[in-house]
Parts: sequence; C-alpha cells; structure tokens
Amino acid sequence: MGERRYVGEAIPRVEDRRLVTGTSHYVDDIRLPGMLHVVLVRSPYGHAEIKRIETAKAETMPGVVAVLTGEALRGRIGSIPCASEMEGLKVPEHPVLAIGRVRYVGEPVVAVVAEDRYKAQDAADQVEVEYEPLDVVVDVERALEPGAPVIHEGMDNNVAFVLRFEGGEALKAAFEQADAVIEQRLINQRLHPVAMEPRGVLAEYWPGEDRLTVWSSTQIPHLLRTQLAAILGMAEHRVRVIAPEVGGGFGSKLNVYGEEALVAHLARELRKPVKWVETRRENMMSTIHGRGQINDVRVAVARDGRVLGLDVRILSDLGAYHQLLTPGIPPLTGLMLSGPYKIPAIGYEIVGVFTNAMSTDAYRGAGRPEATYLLERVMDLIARELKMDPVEVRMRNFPRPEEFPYETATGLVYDSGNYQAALQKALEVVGYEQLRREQAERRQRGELMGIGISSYVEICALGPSAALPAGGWESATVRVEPTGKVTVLTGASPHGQGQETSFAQLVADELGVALEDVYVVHGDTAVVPYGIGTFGSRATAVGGTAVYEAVQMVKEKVRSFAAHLLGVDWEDVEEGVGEYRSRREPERVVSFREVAQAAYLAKSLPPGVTPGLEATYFFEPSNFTFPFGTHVVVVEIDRETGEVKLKRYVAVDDCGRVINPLLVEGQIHGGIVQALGQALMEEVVYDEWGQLLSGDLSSYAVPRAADVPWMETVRTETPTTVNPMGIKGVGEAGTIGATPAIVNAVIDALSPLGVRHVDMPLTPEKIWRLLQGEAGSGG
Amino acid sequence: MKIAGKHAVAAERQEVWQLLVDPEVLRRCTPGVEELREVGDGEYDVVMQLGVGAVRGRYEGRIKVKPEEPGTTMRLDVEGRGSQGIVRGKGVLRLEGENEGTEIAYEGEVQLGGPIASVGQRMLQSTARMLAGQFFTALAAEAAARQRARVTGQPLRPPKHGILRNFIRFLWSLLKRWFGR
Amino acid sequence: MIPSAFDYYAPKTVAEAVALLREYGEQAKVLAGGQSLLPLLKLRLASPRVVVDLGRIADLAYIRREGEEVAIGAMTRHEEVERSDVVRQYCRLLAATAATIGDVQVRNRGTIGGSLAHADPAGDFPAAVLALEGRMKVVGPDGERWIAAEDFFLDVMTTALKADEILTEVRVAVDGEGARSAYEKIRQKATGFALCGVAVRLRVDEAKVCQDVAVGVTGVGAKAYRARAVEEALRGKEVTEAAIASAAAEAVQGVEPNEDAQASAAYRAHLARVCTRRALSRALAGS
Repeated sequence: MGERRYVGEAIPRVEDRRLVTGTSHYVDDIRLPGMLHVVLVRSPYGHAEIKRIETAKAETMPGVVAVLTGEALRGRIGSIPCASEMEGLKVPEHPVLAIGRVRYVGEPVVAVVAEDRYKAQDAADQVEVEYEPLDVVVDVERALEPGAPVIHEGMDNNVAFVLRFEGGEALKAAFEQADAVIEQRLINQRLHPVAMEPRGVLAEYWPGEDRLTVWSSTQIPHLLRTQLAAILGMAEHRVRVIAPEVGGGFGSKLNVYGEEALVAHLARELRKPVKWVETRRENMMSTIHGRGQINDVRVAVARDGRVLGLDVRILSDLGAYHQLLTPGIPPLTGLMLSGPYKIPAIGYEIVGVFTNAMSTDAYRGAGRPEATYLLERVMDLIARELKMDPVEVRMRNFPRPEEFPYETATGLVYDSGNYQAALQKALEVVGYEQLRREQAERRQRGELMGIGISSYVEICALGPSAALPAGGWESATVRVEPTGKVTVLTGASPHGQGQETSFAQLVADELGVALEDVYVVHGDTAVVPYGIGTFGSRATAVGGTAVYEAVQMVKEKVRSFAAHLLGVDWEDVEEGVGEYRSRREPERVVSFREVAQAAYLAKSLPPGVTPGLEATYFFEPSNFTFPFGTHVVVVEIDRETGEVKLKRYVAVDDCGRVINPLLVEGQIHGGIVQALGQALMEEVVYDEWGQLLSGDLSSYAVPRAADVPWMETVRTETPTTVNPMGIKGVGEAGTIGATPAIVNAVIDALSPLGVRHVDMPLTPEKIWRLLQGEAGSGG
Repeated sequence: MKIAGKHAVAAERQEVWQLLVDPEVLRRCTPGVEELREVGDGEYDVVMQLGVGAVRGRYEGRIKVKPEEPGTTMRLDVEGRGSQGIVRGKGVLRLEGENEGTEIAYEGEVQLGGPIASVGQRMLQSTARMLAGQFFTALAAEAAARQRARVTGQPLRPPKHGILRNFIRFLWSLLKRWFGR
Repeated sequence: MIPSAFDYYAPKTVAEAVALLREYGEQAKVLAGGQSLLPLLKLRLASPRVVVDLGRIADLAYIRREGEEVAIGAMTRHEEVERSDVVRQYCRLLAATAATIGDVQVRNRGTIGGSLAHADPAGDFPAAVLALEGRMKVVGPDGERWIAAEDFFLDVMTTALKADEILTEVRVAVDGEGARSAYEKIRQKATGFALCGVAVRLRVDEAKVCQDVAVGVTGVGAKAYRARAVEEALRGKEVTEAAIASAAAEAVQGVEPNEDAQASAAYRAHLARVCTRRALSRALAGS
C-alpha cells in the first residue's frame, strides 16, 4: 500500500456538489425526443372483481397513443417475479396489470399512454372500470380465521408459507428449568419507506439493433436486467439497464416492479421512448412497505437474568402478492433471534399471510430491526420482572470477546465482537449512573423521564452466495487510463451512500494518485461488469473488497511496468506517491503517468506482460459480517399532552474498519432518524375497507429536522476477519439499533404508572391515553 | 368515520316520513344532487357535485333507502364514485316525536376510498356534518312549505335549496337549538 | 401531481380580478400564495376552469398602521408578517402566530389573505384574527364591505366570501396599553398544521383583574371559533393560575371537536384546554 492520505479521513462527498446544486440527473430529468408518458389507472378498492373496463372514451382523447388492460397484456409479457425460494411457498400469479380481480388499493388496472403526462392523466380519468366489491381483509390475524375472505383463488386460505425452526428438547428443557417465563406480544407496524425520489422508469427500443435501454430508479440494475429480459422474452445482452442518480431507496428499490416491465414493453411495442414517473401518492400505495410483523414471544429466564430459551411466533403481513423478496424478509428475523446474546435454545415459527394490502419487502434493516426490537424489549421486560438494571441483564447475556467466532442457536457464526465495550462506552458517554440518580429525583417530583438502552448486532455484508437468492458476491474493475486517470467500475450500485467518494479514497491511496483522478462509475449494465447491487449494508464490505482486490492486481502490473521502465528487478521498485524509484539508484524515477502511458503504447513490454492496465475482480465473501453497538436515549414526556421529547441520544456503533468516518456518521444519523420515525410517528394505516389512510405525506408523518435530537456518535472498532480490509458495513445500523432504544426510554418513563409495554408508534395521543389510565398493557 | 346528530323538523312524524321516501324531495334536499333516478324500490341512481371549499368533485352512484320500521326507522346506504375516489355512507335515521315536532336522530359511518381517502379524511367528519345539516335543513323547509300550503290553501311551492341558503337556515336552526330557550 | 387544464389569468388590479370572478363564478378559484390551492390542483381535488392569480396585483402586499388599526394587505407573506416591525410593535400576536406556520418555504410563499380565505379548519391565522377581533375588507362587484372576523368563518373551508368577492385586507386593532398575548400550538406532525392552536389576547389592570380577553381556537372544530365561555369565565375576575385553569376548562364549550386519523375528538378537546391554559398563562406572564 502507498502512503495513506485519504483512507480514514472525513472527506466531504464528491457527489454532493451536483446534488445540492440540482445539476444531477434522475430518471425524470432525462428527456428523449418523441417521448411518450404513461399514467396508470389504479384500483380504488381493496378487493374487487373487475366486471368491465371501458376504454373507448379514453382512446379517442387528444394525444392518446394507447390504452392497455391486463387482458391485452396477457401472454405478451411475464409476471412480476419473486426471487425467494422456500419449501411449500405459495407464489400466486402477479400480473403487471390486474386481470379479473384487484387485491389491494393502488393495484394497476389500466395503462394510458399519451404525448404528455397531462393528456395521459386526462384520459385516465375517462377510463371506466366497473368493480364488484369483495370482502376485504387487511388484518393478519383476521386473514387467518376460518371463513376469512381468501385473496387468491385456488388457495384454501391466506397462508403463503409456514417456516419452522424447531427448538427441540433443548427449548423444552429451557422452559422447564426457567425461574421465570415472560410472555409478550410485540408489533412491528407497517411502514412506508418514503425515498425522497419516487420510482421512475424510462425505456427506449431500437428495433434495428434489437436493443432495449431502460433507465430506472433502482438499487439493482444488473438483477433488474436479468429479470426484465425474462419477463419480456428478450436475450439478456440486448437489454441495458441504467440506474442514473437514484434519490434513495432504503430497500424499496431493491425490487422488480410491474411498471418497469410495462414501460419497457410499451417502448418495444410502440417504438418510441416511454416514461413513467411515480407520484408520491402512488409511491405510498404501490411501492413496497416495510416491517408488518406481529411477534408473540415467550422467554425462559434464570433468576440471575440469563436467558435460557426463546420461543417466538412471527405473523408476517405479506400483502396481496409477493414482490421480489417478500417471503424472504421475515426469515431474517428468525435468523437473528439470538441478537447480541448467548441464548442456548431458540425456536420459532413464521407464518406468512396474504392480506389486501401492498406487498411488504425489504426496508432498511429488513427483518433485523424486528429481531432487535423484540430482544431489546425482552431484555427490559426481564429487568422489570427480576428487578434488575437493564444494563446488568444485557451484560449477563453477552458472549465474552474471547468467545468469538460465536455460533448462535440459529446457526450463524458471528465473526468478531466486543459487546460489553460498546455498552460500557455508551454508559460512560451518557453518564448513566448520574442519569439514574437524576431520574429518581425527578420521579419524586412527578416528572416523567426515561432512559432507554438498546444493544444490537446486525447481519451485514450480504453475503455468501449460498445464502442469497441471486448471488452475494460483488464485482469491480479498476482501470488506469493511458493518461494515468483511474476509472473504477463497481457492480454495487450506490444510490446516495457515497461510494463514489469512499471507493476513490481507497483506490487513490493504493495507487498513490490524487482523489480527483479517480472516477467511480456505477449503475450502467453496458459499462459495468455484472454486479449485485447496494442493499443489506454490503456495498463497502463486499463491493469495496472487490475494488481492493482489483486494485491489488493492477498494482502488480504497474510495478512490472515500472520495473521495466526503470530497468530494475521487480523487487527493486520502491513505491512513492504517484511515482516509482529504483531502490539502488533513487534518482531514477518514473511517474505513475509514464507507467500508464507505457502500458498502453506497449512499445516495449515486460516479459510475459500484456498491454493495458486494468483488472476485474469478483469477490465472494466467506461469511456475513456482524456489526454491533449500543444506543442510549434519554426522554422526557409532557404529562399533559403525551408528547415525547428526546433529550439525549448517544450512539456507539462498531462497523469494523472505516474508510470515511463522515459517511459512517451520515449513515448512523439517517438510520436513527428513520428509527425515530418508526418509534414515535410512522404507521401505514389501512381501514377495514382496505383503504389506505396514510396515503400521502399530509397523513403520514416522517421526521423532520426539528424532530431530530442532537446525536452524539461514538465508534469502537473491531475489524472483521471476513474481508482483508476488516470492514463490516453500516448502512442499516442506525435503524436497527435506535428504534428499541427510544421505545425502551419512553416505557421506562411511563413505568411508574405501571406501564409494561406500548406498541409503536408512541404517538402523543397514545401516551396521553395511558396517562389517563386507559388500556395499555399495564401490570 | 362515525357521525351522529339530531335535527328537529316542525312537522308530524308521519309527514316527515313521507318526505323522506319521496324521490322528488330527496332530489331537492340532498346537497349537490344533479340527477336522481329511481331504479328500483327505494333505490336511486344519482349524480352529485360534492365538496367543500376548493375541493369539489363529481360523483356517480347509488342511494338505497330501506324502511326498517315504516314511520320510525330507515336505513340509508349511499355510494358514489368519481375520479377523486369513492364516497360511501351508511346510516340509520330514527324519527321520534308526536304531533307538532319530529326529531330526526341519525347515526352512521362515512368512508372515503381511492385517491381521496387519505388526503380527505381530515375534513371528512366536518364535511359530513355540514352536508347532513344542509339535508335536514332543506327537509325542514320542505315540511314548512307543505304546512304553509295547507294553512293558506295555496298550491304547494317547493322551496329552493341553494347551498348558501340552506347553510344560513342550518346556522339559524343551530342558533335556535343552542340559545333557543 | 398533474393538474387538469385551466385558464390562467393574472389581473393587474383588484377590479379586474373581481370582474373575472363575476364572469366565472364558482368555476374560478383565486390563487394567492398557492400553499393550499396548488396541492389541491395537483391532486385534482380541485379542478377549476379558471385560476385568477392575485400575484401580479401591485398593491395587495403591505403592512401599515392606519389610525388605531394595523392594516395588512391580503397578499402579505407569512414571513413578512412574522418579521414586520409594525406587527411586532403593534399586534405581536400576529407575528407570534405567523412564526408557527408550516416551515420556512411555506412561510415565504403563503399569504395571510390566502390562509383566511381558504379557512382551513386547522389554519393558524384564523385563531389570531378572531382573538384580535379583526375585520376583513372584501371587494366585490358592488364595491367593498367589511366583515368582522367572527362573521367571516362559517364552516369547514367555508367563509362569508361570495364567489365573486376577494379578500383584500385584514385589519386588527393596535395593541393597547398593557396588552398581552400568546399563541400556543400543538402541531400535526406531518403537516405542521394546528392539531390545536389557541390565540389569546389579554389585558389586566394593576390588581390583575381581567379588563379584556379574547380567545381564538383553531384545529379543533369545523372552523376556528371564539371560545366565549373561557372569556366569560375570566372577564372582570382576578387572573390567577387557578382562574386560568378553570376558565380553560371551557375551551370547547358548544363545539363538536373533530375526529380524524390524527387525533380523536377527546384528545383534541383536551389539547384545546391545555393550549388555552398555557396561552393564557404565557400571556399573563409576558407584558
């Protein structure tokens, strides 16, 4: 490695200038000559038969080019895919436009194509669809009852799958030996991901070349290309997918949507560029939702606070159809049920249930926030039951640092960790002892102050390919251009995380070039070798490692050319910053640029070395990584209004080695804010008629700057052994760690009133009702 | 969203009942009705302009009126669809009182569906109350007109129900209710 | 997010604007700052045939003292009300109220006239203008007329404005000697609108006896209203914390509190009492 000038430094993102000056290109900023626009007519009913569709009036409207129904598309394009595989999984047909029946509010029924968006919308308003409403079921438990409306014809009930992980005799024994058994129902409400940029698709087809280009706001351009080719019946290499600037995804764009297939199909059929851009209301109705789990927990504990066994039943609200990974999310909760604790016996059952709602799928954390929430609520319930300090309960159950690699009862092998250190650090920073004293005094005065702790471990750097539906490796190409400029191609398609900066830092240090001489390219399947994408906190740990390995290969070749130019042996080359020297005759120097030029001019090649200066590496990780940390929150509750005020927020996170601490901090900040949303504000609400009452940003509250507390972030650094740089990943940590910390703090504040648990979101009215002595699970 | 309320009509219970089952009266009294066509026993196809303030939309739908106990209890079922979405209401009207005055108590549930469901729900209850107020005020005016016709022996002249006119009548009735001792 | 087609007019004078409204009546909508109308247009919840933009009329944005009143032109932005020296000196309640509206972007665009004429049941200015016993200048085909604030708000998004009338100015009395005021608001988290907002104007003598009090409440009922029962309970009495608390208990007297997905009727009623008490206490503590 050359001299470190960039790695480890808090370098502002190179992406930011174009983003904050509005000069970047999102899908909607791209306009092609003759481009047509699509508007979709969506179902206003949660469950209904389609009796009749009348499109004649819309077809004759000015500027209208085509009006399509599901029937018209039948047999011409494939269904929306589900990549998750599971024994006995029911995968109902999921057409791009509804055929015969609609199963959730917002399901696309008719597509109208016109010369502009206004004309398309005017015509869409003239499409008449006659529906015969059917009984609706949006509640998971009601969907399981005998006699509930069955959402998919040909199925006996609404169960998509049942997945059991038997705790066996060990679990039985744990409950027999337990000094106490605690039971609790914990609900992880449905959430809207609310990426700042909604989805959008633009497609263009060149019939002469038989070449389809699709611009989509996606996290996974290559996987989308493969899937689109299959849906459209095209050869994969004829399809090019470009993810231009992508304004956030949080998992919601880790998917293949009907609109992507539809727009591509229309462009091919109509031989004109076609664009569709989602409105915010469509985004809330028909972009995947997150979470949606009911967890019934039984935990066996010993008198000293040790957890002996955990038994969980997970009811997962899948929505009406499977999207790409819908059934794959709740199993991640099951897998992570040991959390940062040594739990000798674990058993779980997951029931995936269809409801008349939009599909749930990956949303920042994807299954792990649910597991963490469950465990961290359980730790506090144990503390309450055994009258112990919540810190003590956690300390008692952590594996010791020397026990790593640690194998959990669910079959995972945690790479490395020091959970005690992170918790200890958090307590120090927040001043825990002092806070508990302050709390005691304030309780005397009748004030409601709470302290909440959450220790978490997450499964990141997804992951070994064997454990993922479509590969878990990542690719990178590092190419030194003849002028010595460096191009990096990454298959991890970042969309706001900042890898254009962090990968450039890495490569610049390795090659001894300036940061601005490294250009990171991503998101274009015609330019970048096949890759997997950005999700599951994997882009740096897996994609970054691929870059690291590729640059090592390039360095070898650089050295060969340098040695050749200097006329010395390979071993006699000394690397400087942007230059190479002979060890024996230090005045003999070649610059990096001269080396690059020589590699391409190829007038004289070192023996056995080919021209050019480029390498591609596909990195396959041997395991996941397991970042961890502890968050501590201090809250105050307004006794009169029930409002929660966050007074302190301390986050200690350990994501292994760090390339750019500024990016890490940004990820932690953003994650905490989204977690705060789930804890206090956000909830997808369908009424019993299947109507989406949280369908826009005037009725669905996401946190704003004024809602966010000052966040004190601290890091501990425990490198992973899974990759050479020791990087674990950080994209989801904040969301996973923060939610239970906030909820625990609020419940701690309310505990003098006998409150044992409250379900999220902890809205002021909900808390006010508890303060009035109403309901809640007291006792 | 549940709504409930009471309105007084200065007419005998039987007469108020007759008004409620008269399609012509329904057409005149229901706020925003543009067309109302009887399609079956107590079922009407209806075209309405509904809205409040700047929010307005045209809805086509069906009103079902089902006497449960003739003279006293009636079920109402309304559903309208427009490009803004679906408006749905279900409820029961109960008529009480003897001789001079009848009190109409209503309770029911109104729902919005489709695009308007989330953005409109914040105004739903107030709007439903306002529209119900307009309906019953108009109904009271119908009753008064009939009474006038009986007393004077003049032919019946159905009242006009502009939204504002109804609204003023409605306010007046509220004022009388609150301060009318 | 795609409005229906409409004809756009940008008259240069109020008279031209009124003439347009007279011509198009219910088919026209007036555009002021656009903070409510534009979202409605984009969602196609409003599809007027004609939009009459008041933005090009030169003399509708002003704040000035007129005798014993402060006159504010209808097109004055919230941000201008918030920062105006005249407002801060003579009718502080309006500045305090303006500062709580939406966010910076909304305050830079939204206008006081637009807020009052739209009569959103959760708008902030109606509460303040009621508490200040303001009056609205309205111009129609037959010339101008004045409407007292209390007669202006009729029901949910319904005012005493006729279809061919334009609200051009609002006037409130200059704060008198010893005038105290406060605006207390609980924000609806998603929008920043008032889940409940209470504006209070209070004058007490040296013995803390209430000489004058007015309370405007928004966000609770179908429209902003004067909480008369609260005022009655305080007028002529010594204003103590206990007196405030018992008066505030009357905050929803005669009002049916609204219920929606954001708050139940009971919680809204409770917030109205809490905000009333807090606003009165803050007003009393200030000077």
